[in-house]
Amino acid sequence: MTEELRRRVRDFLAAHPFTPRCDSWAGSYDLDFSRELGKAGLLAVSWPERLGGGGGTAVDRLVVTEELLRAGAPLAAHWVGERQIGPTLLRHGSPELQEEFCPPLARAECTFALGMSEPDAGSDLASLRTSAVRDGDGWRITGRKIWTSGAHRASHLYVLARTSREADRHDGLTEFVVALDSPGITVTPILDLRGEHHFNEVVLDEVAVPGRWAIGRVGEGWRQVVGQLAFERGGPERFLSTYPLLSAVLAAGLVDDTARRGLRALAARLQILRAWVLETAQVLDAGGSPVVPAATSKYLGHEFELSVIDWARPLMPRATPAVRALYDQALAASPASGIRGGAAPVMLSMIARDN
Amino acid sequence: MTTHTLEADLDASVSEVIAGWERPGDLREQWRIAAELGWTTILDDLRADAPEQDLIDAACGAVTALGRGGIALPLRQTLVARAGTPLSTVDAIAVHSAAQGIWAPIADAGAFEEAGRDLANRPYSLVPAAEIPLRRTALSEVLRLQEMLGAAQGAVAEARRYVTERVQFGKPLAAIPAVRTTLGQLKVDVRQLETVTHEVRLRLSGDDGALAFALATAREVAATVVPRIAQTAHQLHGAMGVTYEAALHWRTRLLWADCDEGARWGDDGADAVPVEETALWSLTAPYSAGTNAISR
Repeated sequence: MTEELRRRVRDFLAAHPFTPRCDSWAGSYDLDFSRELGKAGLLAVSWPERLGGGGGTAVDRLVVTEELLRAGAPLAAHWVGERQIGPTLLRHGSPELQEEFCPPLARAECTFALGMSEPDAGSDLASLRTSAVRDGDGWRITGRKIWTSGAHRASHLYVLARTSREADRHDGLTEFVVALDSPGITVTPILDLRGEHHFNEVVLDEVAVPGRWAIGRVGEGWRQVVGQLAFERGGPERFLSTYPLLSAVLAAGLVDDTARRGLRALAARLQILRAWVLETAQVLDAGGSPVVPAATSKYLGHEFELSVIDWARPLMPRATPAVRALYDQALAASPASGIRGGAAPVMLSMIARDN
Repeated sequence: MTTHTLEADLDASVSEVIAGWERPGDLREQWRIAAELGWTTILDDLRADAPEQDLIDAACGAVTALGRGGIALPLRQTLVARAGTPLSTVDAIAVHSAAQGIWAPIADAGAFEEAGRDLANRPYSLVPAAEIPLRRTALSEVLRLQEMLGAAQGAVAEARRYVTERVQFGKPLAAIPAVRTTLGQLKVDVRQLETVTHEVRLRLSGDDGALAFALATAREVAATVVPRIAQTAHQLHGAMGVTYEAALHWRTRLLWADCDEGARWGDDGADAVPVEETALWSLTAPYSAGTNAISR
């Protein structure tokens, strides 16, 4: 199936023109493109068919995302919902919640932003302060979320919130779906290093959430979210953000003798990382939660992305404006790409603890 | 990571045998045991045109276990020399020019003058480099990579044990965040070495271009991470790691010696890395050997 899927993605890309971009899964938003992907059956390929998916595996999804990221296609509109929210609902959500959200997610009709980090809770996610209190059959959520990419465009927000105070701060957390057009939500832009608007701060002030929109078991959010982090960290987007630059440099014939030697090191890391994300996908298919492998590929993936930029830098004086634009995008996105999903020292600490 | 049963079996049984060996021990006595247990003849029946993966895996298991134990024996050189061309005796020390004269001065065939000893105290001779077929070179290189991988695994185990047990400032060293991140980096480096080694091994039965590419990338990764693994392990282990009594001492010497042996290749094979994206993308895909392997 993977060979046929790879061909289908390549055919789709040839039939749907776009301008390649670095960091396209986070910074290149085109809702029409995402919906066309959905119509072509190239979103949610690993979800059950009854919920709008392709009935395939995590390895199938890896094949699709590798090819899309390789091309620098605009993926930001559907990315969070398809990569992370759908799989979380499939693992932990009630059948009703799955029915309600998975089919529209698979068509990119419903889009998500991710409300995990807070102003005082980044790497230490368990220290988050956003709270959800019971309100009849539902909940009222109050708090602040930061770095919520695409919240100014998404229809829904995933929120991790504290529903009770326990002795162990990893207990008492719950995952929620929140409609972004709910009263009490304020979205404020945060501009990035190029002055572009992808990030936001989201303030929630007693936002009403229906009871059925709690994901999984109340108070079990931490255990659920740890598994979700493998979806978030363990994919090819953690090393292919700068790949369109590498690809463009090769296509432009800019590689000199020095760059050719450097290319061997890049090729070696690319080979390693592609093997690692395949292993992660295989573990996911087996029902596992490959947290440490995902942390490992995320760590080395960022190193690889930075290496691509360093390798390309001396070649830029001879580059066309189009290639130079990819270089600028890659460089500007690089600090954030090392932090989102977990900063490097935190990843290394996790890797060290694993036996 | 795919682990073949035969490799695991050989790895475990060799590890068990060498657990009580002295370092440095009596080379001839260790070699006699190795021959008696059949380690030297693993590749005698290997077919050159279609190498049997289970035999390759068994050889890799034995060589990795020796490396992990910090034992320098002429096993990998002998395995390559005998591969597909068995010798009349099982205990002959044989060498192949793909291993650049390491152990040649004590080999049972040929008359090689000792030019010196490497960092693992292995005698070497300055044998003129002959033209070696790609597949024979690749077999030799896979076993060198496996020996380094074993030594690296042994070094990490020692470093981890030390930072867990050694108390300074009232806590185990592993409680210091910088120590933890350094240990994490060390493990990432070892995993890189493991992955590229595994990929070359899988491609021994693939086409020449795919094999040459994996060989070029594996050499590059080994040349980068192996010295770093040795240095980092010592940083974590503290001064005691340099001493004869420290297990790390023997792993380090093997790591350095094997890495230096690989320096002969320099930029050889760099042109196996294409400067064209489609080919690069295809060659960096994990080799399609298993049912779940990704296609290109």
